[in-house]
Amino acid sequence: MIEEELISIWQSSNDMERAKFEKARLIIDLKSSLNRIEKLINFRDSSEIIAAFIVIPIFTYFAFTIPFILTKIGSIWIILWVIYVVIKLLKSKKNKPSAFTENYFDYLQKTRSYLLIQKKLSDSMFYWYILPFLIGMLLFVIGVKGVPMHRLILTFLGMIGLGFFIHFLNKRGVKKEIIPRLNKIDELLKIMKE
Amino acid sequence: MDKELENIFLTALEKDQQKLLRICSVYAKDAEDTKDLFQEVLIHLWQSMSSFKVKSSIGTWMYRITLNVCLRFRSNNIRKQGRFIIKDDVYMANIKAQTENNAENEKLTSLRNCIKTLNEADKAIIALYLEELPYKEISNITGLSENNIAVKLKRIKSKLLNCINKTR
Repeated sequence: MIEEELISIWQSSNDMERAKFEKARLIIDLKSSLNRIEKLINFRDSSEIIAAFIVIPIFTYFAFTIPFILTKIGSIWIILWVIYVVIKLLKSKKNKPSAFTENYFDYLQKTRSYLLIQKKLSDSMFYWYILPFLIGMLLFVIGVKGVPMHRLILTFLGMIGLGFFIHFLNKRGVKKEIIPRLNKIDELLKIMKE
Repeated sequence: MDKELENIFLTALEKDQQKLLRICSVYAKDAEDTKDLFQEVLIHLWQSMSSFKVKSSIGTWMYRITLNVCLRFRSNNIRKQGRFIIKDDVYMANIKAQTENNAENEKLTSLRNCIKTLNEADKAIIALYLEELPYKEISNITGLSENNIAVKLKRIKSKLLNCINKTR
């Protein structure tokens, strides 16, 4: 089959009915255009921001009202940690490919960089999220006087459990959502560079 | 969006929609998927219209968006998203399932099926080539050099011809 024939066969497929674009305004729900991974990332970020709005006033109150030094330090630590987390998450979204107007190759590379940043963020979550959180809570808990020791230990163990649960969810998210996409993009980029 | 951009968009869409549909068709499983994917493309074209610079080629710009959307979205995912589209604004009249009732359609089906066996980057290149876009424009759309495209096309055409001959 010669090339011209291929082209002519390809272009013969215009028996599809025409798409109508009648009105000037297209009403869409922008959020629904996000794919699953973006929804997960947005959910994570908004949860953190909401949590920050709740945690900061509460721990500011503790820092001023609870007289124990270690608890005060723990409260301030938690406030700083929450602010740090929010900044870190928002910063990580800066590299998000914003539009589809890039060429194919650039779009793939930008998407790859964005996914790598998200992967790195999730992989290192133990160090910037869970560990500082546990340190802050440990200072807070051991500073409190007059509360039975077993309750403090139980509270702290609960926090450790929560930390590991978050860590597990993130690892799972990386494995199920980010790595398959990265592999696919790497494969495409490799093919394109060949 | 101002009136000028809107007119450019509508004119270009009227002119190129069959081409864009054909490109969507190689990334979609069937006619229904093609419809979903094309709707997604339309929405992204419309959303991105404000970033379009009047001096540049709207065709190249549309192809870029189409390919990136096709790459990113799986039609199944689009359906799961339950996107809300006001029917009066954009609607796809029934895209008919291809009926293979004559020799031409058989050839077309065979060509489409063979293109679908290619990897996604090769699909993009061959679809643009079959639309008779010059190498320079394919290069602008894909980000690959013209030489690279020429080499790739040679390989892709050979793969396609092998595939088509096998299916005969």
